[in-house]
Amino acid sequence: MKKMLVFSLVFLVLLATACVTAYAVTVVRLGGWPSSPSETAALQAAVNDFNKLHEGQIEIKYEPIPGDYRLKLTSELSAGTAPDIFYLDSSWAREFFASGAIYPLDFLVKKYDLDLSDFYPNLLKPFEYNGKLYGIPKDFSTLVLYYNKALFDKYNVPYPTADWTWYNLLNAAQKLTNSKLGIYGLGLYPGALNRVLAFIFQNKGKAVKENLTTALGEPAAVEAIEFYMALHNKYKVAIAPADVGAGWLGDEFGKERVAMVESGPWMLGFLKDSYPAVNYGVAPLPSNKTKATMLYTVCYGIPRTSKVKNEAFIALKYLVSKGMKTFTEKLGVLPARKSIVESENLMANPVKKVFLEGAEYGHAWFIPTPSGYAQKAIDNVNANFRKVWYGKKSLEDAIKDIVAHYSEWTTKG
Amino acid sequence: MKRRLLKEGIVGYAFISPIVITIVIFILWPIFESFYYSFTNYNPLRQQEYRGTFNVQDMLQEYLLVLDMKDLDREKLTKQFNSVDFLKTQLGLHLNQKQIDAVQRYFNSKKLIEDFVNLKLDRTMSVAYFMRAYMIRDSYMFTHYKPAWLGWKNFTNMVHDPYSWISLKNSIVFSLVVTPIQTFLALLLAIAANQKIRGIKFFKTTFFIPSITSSAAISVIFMMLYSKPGVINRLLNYFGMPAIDWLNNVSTALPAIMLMNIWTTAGYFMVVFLAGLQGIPASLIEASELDGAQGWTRLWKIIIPLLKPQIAYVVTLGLIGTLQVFDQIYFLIKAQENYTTAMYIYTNAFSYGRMGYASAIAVAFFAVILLSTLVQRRVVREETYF
Repeated sequence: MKKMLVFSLVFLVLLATACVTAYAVTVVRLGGWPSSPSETAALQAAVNDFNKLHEGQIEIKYEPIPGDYRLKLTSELSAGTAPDIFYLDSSWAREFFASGAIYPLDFLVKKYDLDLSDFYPNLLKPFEYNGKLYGIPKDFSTLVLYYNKALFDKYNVPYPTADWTWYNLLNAAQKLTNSKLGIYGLGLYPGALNRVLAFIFQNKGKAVKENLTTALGEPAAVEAIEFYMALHNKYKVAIAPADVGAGWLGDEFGKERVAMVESGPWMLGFLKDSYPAVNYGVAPLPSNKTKATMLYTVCYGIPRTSKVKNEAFIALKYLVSKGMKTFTEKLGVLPARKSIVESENLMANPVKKVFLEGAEYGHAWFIPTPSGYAQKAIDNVNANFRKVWYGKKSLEDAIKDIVAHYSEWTTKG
Repeated sequence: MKRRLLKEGIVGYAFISPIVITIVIFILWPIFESFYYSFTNYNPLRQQEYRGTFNVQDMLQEYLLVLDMKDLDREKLTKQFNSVDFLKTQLGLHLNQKQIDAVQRYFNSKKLIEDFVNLKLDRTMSVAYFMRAYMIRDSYMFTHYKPAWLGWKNFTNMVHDPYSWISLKNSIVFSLVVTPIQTFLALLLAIAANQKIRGIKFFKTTFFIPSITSSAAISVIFMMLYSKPGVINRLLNYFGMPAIDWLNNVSTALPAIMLMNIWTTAGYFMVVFLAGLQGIPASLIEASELDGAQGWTRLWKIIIPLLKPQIAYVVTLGLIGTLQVFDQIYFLIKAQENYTTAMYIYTNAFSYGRMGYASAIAVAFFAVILLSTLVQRRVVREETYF
């Protein structure tokens, strides 16, 4: 009798377990870097909303990856333990696409009816590789011109307008520079291709030619780089953050050592928290032959090793639709979808408007190369730029070096 | 008796087995793998190339542009299907020439399309399994990722790469400057800490704290100290000297890090010397005092020779440690001309996707450190007690 009882109990427990596992929830792991506690909280809010909607069927587990993200992601992908959805930054995503580790999303986009026409087309470009789409952008930043209204008033310079050209920029910077007081017109980074490129595009130049060899040696690009460097070397109106003891442009601008910087929406929160007294405005970047700015964007991607690709895409679709709304509301970032810009009436905010307009004429920050790897080329170009900025190398020699070695830098070892 | 010895032996090995196994798996095995990868173009992102799973029908539908699985024309689809192209573009495989030839000859496209049309392929499988199913023969080539063998290419590239020599030079200079200064400073600190004065415990602790503080935290502090408007430059200005951007100036960056490293590690080796000093019998010191040895003579002729084993130990560890310096370079150095070998290896492995090349540099550097240690042991022939 006792034996029968024990057996039936065990049987019931096993049956219950079997039933539970049969109705087990599919877990989708989401990874990304936590750039700030508010970002983690905002994403978690979007995740919670999704989990409520899909209770019992799909559950997203958000596991942020702190520290050296690229390193951890590479290790996890090689071990097959990568999350089912994760962030990829436009500047280095192509390495991952080229290796074949990321799953192309075209089929899933069609299967689950994700309308791509709502996304700003310039934001999809960096995630298209060899005719396939490997990521969906989640948000973006653009560069605008921040200007210190107090300094402009002090030196009687009219504020920047949407029609400003390089000439206006130089002119104003000269009036605003007072080296005795240690105040300069413009703050710039000495060796940052991702900023110099804005000037190159404004001069109708580009980073690479059709055949993916470097276009930095072309006259349009050389002219733009020359102007950038001249602001520091010839006209002496631009100064690097390190030379005024600041960690980055935001510090420079907040300490009011420079009247203008070209920076992104990440400055808004920083200035509000750390330098609330600064009275500033924003304007589109000055143009030369054409209007241009840089777009920095991050996408969600799915690895080929994921065992739950369908559910992962359902989660991804939510995160770039309703989830994007929640995320951008809470965090104040720029959404990658035109419809959210409209529904949230973001254009009504005069500051956000300047950033958002950049999406139309901006260029995404990425360097396509034959091997997919660009970091070595970027590092070496930046090293050359830094030398020219500090007068250690002539621009001619730097361009010669770049053009001569570019193909070597962009082949995979 | 023999049985008892055997039992003791087994128990002994059982006790050390956890740590031995850990060392073998997590230290020795990766080292051997590194040696292997240095001869290849290993890409860690391709490790799972044949293990990724996919729904075969979905992939074929996308490739063949088939929306509806009804009324499928076998002949048309078989003509449309290109095996090599499908494997490359849909499954993301990188195929070498041998593999391409094998696929062109032995891949059973006909059977694949047949199964596709008969709706047998709405299932998920790994790439390796898929290849096993549809390769008539030679499926052994498609079981897992095998990096391409490059022979000595990585090593010859390293010889021709100016930055590998620059970073080696930086590492060696760093080591040759920091090790003697750090050893000497540690010795001084140990002698100071050996005094019987009030508050000596406080001094000992203060000397030791930098070596146990997180190197990241120390890097941030020194970044502020060394910055253009930082404390060090203010001091220089006070004496009428111009401010220098210590960390961003290519010629001053490494010396600045050297100073920081000496400050950080001296305290750690002070403890070794302290132990050594306290091991010198007091009677010896008293005897030398009676014989009229002054402080300086006492230091050079008595104390230092008696500390020879400790000096050898500190110098060996110092050389190895400084040659491998990484943390401070990673946090504070931006210019490639100032990279040390460890930093250059890291950059090649994780920023440039050149894991094979980075492994080659690591192997070559291993040989350098091994050589330097052997030379150093020969030169400082110590009568070691341990």
